[in-house]
Amino acid sequence: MKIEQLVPLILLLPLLGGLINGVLGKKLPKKVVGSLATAVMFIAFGIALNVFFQLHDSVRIDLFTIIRLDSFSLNARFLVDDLSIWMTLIVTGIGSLIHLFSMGYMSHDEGYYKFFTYLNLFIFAMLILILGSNYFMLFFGWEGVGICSYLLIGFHYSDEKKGLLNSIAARKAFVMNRIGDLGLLIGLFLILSTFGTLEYNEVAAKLTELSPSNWMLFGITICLFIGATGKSAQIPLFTWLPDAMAGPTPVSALIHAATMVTAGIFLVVRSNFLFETPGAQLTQDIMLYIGLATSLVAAFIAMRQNDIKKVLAYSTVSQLGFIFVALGMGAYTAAIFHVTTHAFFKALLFLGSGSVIHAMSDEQDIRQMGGLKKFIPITHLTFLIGTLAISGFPLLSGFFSKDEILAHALHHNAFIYGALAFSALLTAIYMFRLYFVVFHGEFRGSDHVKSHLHESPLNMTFPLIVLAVLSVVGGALNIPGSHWFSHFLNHNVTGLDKVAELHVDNSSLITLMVTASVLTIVALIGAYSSYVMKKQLPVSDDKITGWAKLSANKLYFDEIYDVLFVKPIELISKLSHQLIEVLFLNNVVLGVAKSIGRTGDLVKKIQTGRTEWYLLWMVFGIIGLVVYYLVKI
Amino acid sequence: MVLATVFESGLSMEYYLILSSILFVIGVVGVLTRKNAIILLMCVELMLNAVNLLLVAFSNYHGKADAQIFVFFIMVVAAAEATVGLSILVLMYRNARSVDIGLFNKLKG
Amino acid sequence: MDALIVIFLSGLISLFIAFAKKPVLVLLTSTVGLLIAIALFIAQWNNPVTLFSYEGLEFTNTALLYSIAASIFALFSILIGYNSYKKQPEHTGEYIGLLMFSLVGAVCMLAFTDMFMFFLGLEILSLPIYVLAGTNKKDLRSSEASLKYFLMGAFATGVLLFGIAWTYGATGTFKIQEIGDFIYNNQNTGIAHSSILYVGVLLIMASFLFKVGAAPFHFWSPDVYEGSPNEVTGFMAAVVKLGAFGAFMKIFGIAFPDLHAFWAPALVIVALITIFLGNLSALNQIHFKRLLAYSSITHVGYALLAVLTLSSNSIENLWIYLFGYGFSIIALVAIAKLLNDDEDKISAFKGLAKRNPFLATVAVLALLSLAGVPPLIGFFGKYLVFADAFTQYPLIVIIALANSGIGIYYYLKTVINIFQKEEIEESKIEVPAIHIVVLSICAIAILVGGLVLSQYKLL
Repeated sequence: MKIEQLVPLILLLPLLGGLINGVLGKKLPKKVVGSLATAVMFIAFGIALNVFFQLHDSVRIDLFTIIRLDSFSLNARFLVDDLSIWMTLIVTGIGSLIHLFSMGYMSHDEGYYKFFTYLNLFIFAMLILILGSNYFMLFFGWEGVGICSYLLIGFHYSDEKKGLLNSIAARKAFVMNRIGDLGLLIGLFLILSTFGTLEYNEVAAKLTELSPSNWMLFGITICLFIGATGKSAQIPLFTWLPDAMAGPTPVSALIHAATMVTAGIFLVVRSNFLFETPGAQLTQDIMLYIGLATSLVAAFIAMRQNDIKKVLAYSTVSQLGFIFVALGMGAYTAAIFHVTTHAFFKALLFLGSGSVIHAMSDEQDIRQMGGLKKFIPITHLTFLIGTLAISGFPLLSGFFSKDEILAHALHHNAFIYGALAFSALLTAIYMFRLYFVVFHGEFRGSDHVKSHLHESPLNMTFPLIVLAVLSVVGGALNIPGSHWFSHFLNHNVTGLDKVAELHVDNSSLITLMVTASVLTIVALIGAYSSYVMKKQLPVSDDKITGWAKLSANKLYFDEIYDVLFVKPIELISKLSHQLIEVLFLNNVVLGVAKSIGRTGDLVKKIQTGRTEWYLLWMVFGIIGLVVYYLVKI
Repeated sequence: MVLATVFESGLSMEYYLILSSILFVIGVVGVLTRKNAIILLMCVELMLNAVNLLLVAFSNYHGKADAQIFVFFIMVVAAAEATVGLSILVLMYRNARSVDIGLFNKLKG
Repeated sequence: MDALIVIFLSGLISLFIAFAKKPVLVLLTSTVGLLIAIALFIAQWNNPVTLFSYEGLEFTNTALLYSIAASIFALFSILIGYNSYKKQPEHTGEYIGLLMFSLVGAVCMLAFTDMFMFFLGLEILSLPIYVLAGTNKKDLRSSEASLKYFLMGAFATGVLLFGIAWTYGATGTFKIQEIGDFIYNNQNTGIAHSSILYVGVLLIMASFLFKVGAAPFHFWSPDVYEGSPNEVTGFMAAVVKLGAFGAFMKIFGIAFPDLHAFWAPALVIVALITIFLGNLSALNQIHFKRLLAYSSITHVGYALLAVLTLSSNSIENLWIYLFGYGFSIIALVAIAKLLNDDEDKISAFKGLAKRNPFLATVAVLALLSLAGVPPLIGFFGKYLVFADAFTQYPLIVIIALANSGIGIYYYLKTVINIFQKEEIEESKIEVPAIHIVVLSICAIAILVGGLVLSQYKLL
């Protein structure tokens, strides 16, 4: 089949799975529901692979026109080029593995069918976002991802203990994302008013033709970036992501690795032609420093978190910051490369943590764990690989992708390089801390939990193994010397071919690599000595002091936001309620409604029920018409 | 004698118009003022007859016969209407023991 | 013409078969007759060859379109009366026969070419309905409805005839096309502007306003709607409105279009009063059929805009409007009947969503369609009429739109009732298979009718 037919099929499959499970899922057995949802994902992945091998030039696929006005039309149109098909591969590939994992992980859950419905719809929305050929389709998918993530984060809203917290976390994610969405929406309006179109290629073409003012370009790009900070969890809108850990672990894996958080990055890469204009220079710088700050702050916070998923969440935020630094430097292929490897090892780590939590009977506090390596060997081994990969251990995937960004940073500015390297060092430290505390030493949990410790079933370990292999070899995609991946992306993606390639000479490349390796190994040895040799343990929350307290309390971000934004807004809304609603609206609006109602009662009185009156009214009507005639003449 | 000459010479059109209008208005006033449904029905008949008179007069004026045929139709329909009307009145009388329209005001509001 | 004869004959046969005391047989005869008639109407589309012909009736596509809709609604009105036939099998024949005769009148009113047939059609349409309104012979309210309708109807007939007579006097013809030509040819001389003609036009308009139920000639409709049996209410709202509006459009579009400047302002005033009066009276109703009656008065006000506009699309827009309206109203009276509430309270709908989800769904669809919620058919009808009228009467369309807002209040009030929990658990409602079929068709028509019909240009 041709690409034109295959691509809609990729989108249709998850939608179909979601619809079938959503409508019939309640009545179907769990096995059927899970298998169906997983099967559509694997088939979609297979089709995506097929498209990937067939694709040479970018292809546009028209489905239908959504709105057609005189000079403007919104099309349900897809753009298949190397960027979108690559993202599709990641989303469907990682998505399939997460689906497979969920079949085991969620097997005891009551809302099994709902979960898979949401999961499939989530993938569908993400695919729309990626494959759309215009900003409108992107926005559609963007919002779809938002709503699905809301549903999934708050999935256990009826849980007795944590139900309320879960819903609050879901709400937080939603509200934070809405703030970003507003930025994106304004950005889209600006694009529409400037270029008169939302199609990527038309915008790119008109950019040279219309040459809009620098201020307009700055406005557009900064708005797009605000949108990206929401979805991709950058300062100041990052606080939702750690809270999003409230969702079931596979959801965290999906949000963090494959889908939601990459949306912002994808948006920036897709719009690279806008960001590369002189007007957007400032935006790029803002992006760079915000990314840098996010990376450092998140890494710092992750140092003293004791919830296994929270650590991973902050590491995601930190890695995203890394990627935004790359975007700020115009290193788009390096960014997508890191997105790819990050998808591998972060999915691996999250699913691994899911496997740990599953084994620990839903315990997430690492202080209750320890010595798990002999109980759950496969999980242990794969988690170790993930840890090494994210820490940038030599020759694993994370090593190469980080190295690429660091090389760009060194080329750009020594300070940025230093800060990034420091952030990478922190990453290695907290990840090894996590690894050693969880898997080494003595088991510290209760005997009851200990008796239940078990390795996960095959459908959970299989995705781990696949992802572990990918995390090891993923770096080969863009290995220095071949740079296959950069060439691949530059091949037919609008704008990327114009971005200058950075070629690092061999000597500095070796210097970079050696530095990175040394840092990682230092972190490894340090963590090993303190957590395994000296058997240091994370202490309980009230005993920590100094910088550790800052880190454990997440730099008080939530509290600061509360004082700065939430409290004043609550005050304003209370005031408005009193003044506008109670005093003004209730009197005016209800007054109007009441008076209309009273008029109704009055009018009803004309209908006396007496025929003679009715006849009289008719005669009055005729007389009225005659009078009208006399007046008219 | 006088009448004969009047008819032979032909009255001018206005007289017919005025006469039938007066008849019609009498019918309307009767409908408005009387309470007995049977008399109401008769007043409606009067209105119809006013129309008949008008139509015949116009027919003569235009020198065409079609309006006179229309008059026959009106008579037939009026008869049918009277039949239906009177049977409804009988029905009403059975239920309410009266044909005074002032009494029928259960449906209102 | 063939279809007309088929309708008449099947009505007649229904009357006689009734002696066999088998209501199902009567139902079958009339259903088959109506289906054949609809098929014949469709067969004559663009192809006016018939076995029987009479120059007083002309089945143009417009007439056929309106006739098809009227026949469908008549068929539905007959079918939803199924429960009553089981209760009073001895009257089935008269009931169905009268309905069919009334439909004959409606078709005459849609296909006439001269005032003869128009007048006869009007009377053939009206006389059976006077009787039908009083079908519940033991019920005083039913008799009262019948009497009120009859007295006022007879009065309106007198007014109409008086108007026709004056018009004849001014133009010397009964053929509407000739009247139109006469006015067109003489519009620069005084002959086309004589007082006689003007009075005639106004009187004819007054009687039309009575038939469609526009203020201040509307007083019969709430009382009659409430008093009549539900099937008859449905028939009156759907078929009589179609016939009356079809004829209204025809006479004012063919005979009097050149006097538009004269009669339009009067109609504007009437339409505005009608819209306001209907809406305001509907607000605080507790009786469901009365609510429907007042809402139908409002709808008449909206539909009058199509008569006012008289553009090339008006006839079709008005048809879509009335077509959608008919489905909603028939579905609603059928459901109200199934609720088996003699007092006709809106509160009878309470808890319907729990008691019978199917009925609740159809009822909500119908109500929302009446309120004009897209993409239901009621929205498209309203939209087409309003959009067409907007260039000529922007202010009135805006007022009408504002009134649509008020309308949503009382439609939603019923919808709220449907979803409200009921205090007293009542037994489930039995829905006969015929009702399920009819209501399903109505629901589908309401759902997709507007989307489909607005795609095509029928006329």
